Amino acid sequence: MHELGVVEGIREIAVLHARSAGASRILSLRVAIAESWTYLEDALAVFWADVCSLSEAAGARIEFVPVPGEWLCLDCSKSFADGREVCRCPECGSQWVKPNDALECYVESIEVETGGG
Amino acid sequence: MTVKTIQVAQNALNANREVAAQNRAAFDSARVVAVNLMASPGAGKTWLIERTIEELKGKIRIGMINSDTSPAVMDAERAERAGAVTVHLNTAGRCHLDAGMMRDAIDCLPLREIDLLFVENIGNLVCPAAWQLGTHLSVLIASTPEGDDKPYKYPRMYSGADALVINKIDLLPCVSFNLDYFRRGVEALNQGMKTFPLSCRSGEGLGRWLDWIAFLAARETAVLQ
Repeated sequence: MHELGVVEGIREIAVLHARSAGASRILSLRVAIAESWTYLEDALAVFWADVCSLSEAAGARIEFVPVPGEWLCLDCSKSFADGREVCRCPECGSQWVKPNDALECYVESIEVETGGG
Repeated sequence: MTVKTIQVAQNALNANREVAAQNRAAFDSARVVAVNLMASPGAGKTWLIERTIEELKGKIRIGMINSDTSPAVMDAERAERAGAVTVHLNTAGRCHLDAGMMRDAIDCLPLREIDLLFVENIGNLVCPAAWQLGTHLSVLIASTPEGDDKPYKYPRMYSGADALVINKIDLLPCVSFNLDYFRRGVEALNQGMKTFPLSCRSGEGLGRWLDWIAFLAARETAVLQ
């Protein structure tokens, strides 16, 4: 259930940027998530609908964009990108790999509505 | 009305990290060493805290933030009986602590009456790894009945810890746990990580852990002074 904390973080960042821009409403968000990170997209969507309800993001459409995760092979030390849930090192075939990504989940952009013309 | 797109490019966990930094500042200001204890359910987090409080009573003033996914307070009561100032956090189903929950718990603690604070995270080998709390150190507790394959299956957790306790070593003759295989996995993920094989039940190996905790508390205080 860490997805709840993730969408709360997304909302805080989005609302902060929207307010800085003088926006009255957030219409949509684009969020990138590394595939090497453990998450359930359905859970993210369900929690988002609840978490955004009492903010400028109420009703905002959220798009989760999966990006290939970075992995490090612990047998031969090769770094590689792979989007599959079960991945093997392309060099030596080992399954002993660890996620090597710093940006697990990040808000790429938001679309907002402002009052001015 | 105008619609425009704003480029953000920010990690979703940044807000949590900012609160974690505030928590760290509160610990530093009160000269409290904070240790995040992470493990799977049943590894012996509460037992280790309890034994540490009992053994170091009169030498170090220990506090505890205990978390559970339910209102059950038996773990917090154990630490309290052992002599620690304790706050219980009910995460209401959430599978990890975050910096905001920690901030609320810190507000309930007399920090200036504590030298070392144990934060007992939710029993889970996945989610707690991603959430900074503001503690100075993260200690992972493994236990021999869990099996020797955990570093291979939960690499994030083993990569991010500062120290490792291998609990229940008195059970080694009874369980299938290859210590060499386990250590190889740990070493590949976290080279040179300080490791404490011990048994909370028999007390074997506990002395080295207690010395380290006492050293930590004293060192941090001295550095801050």
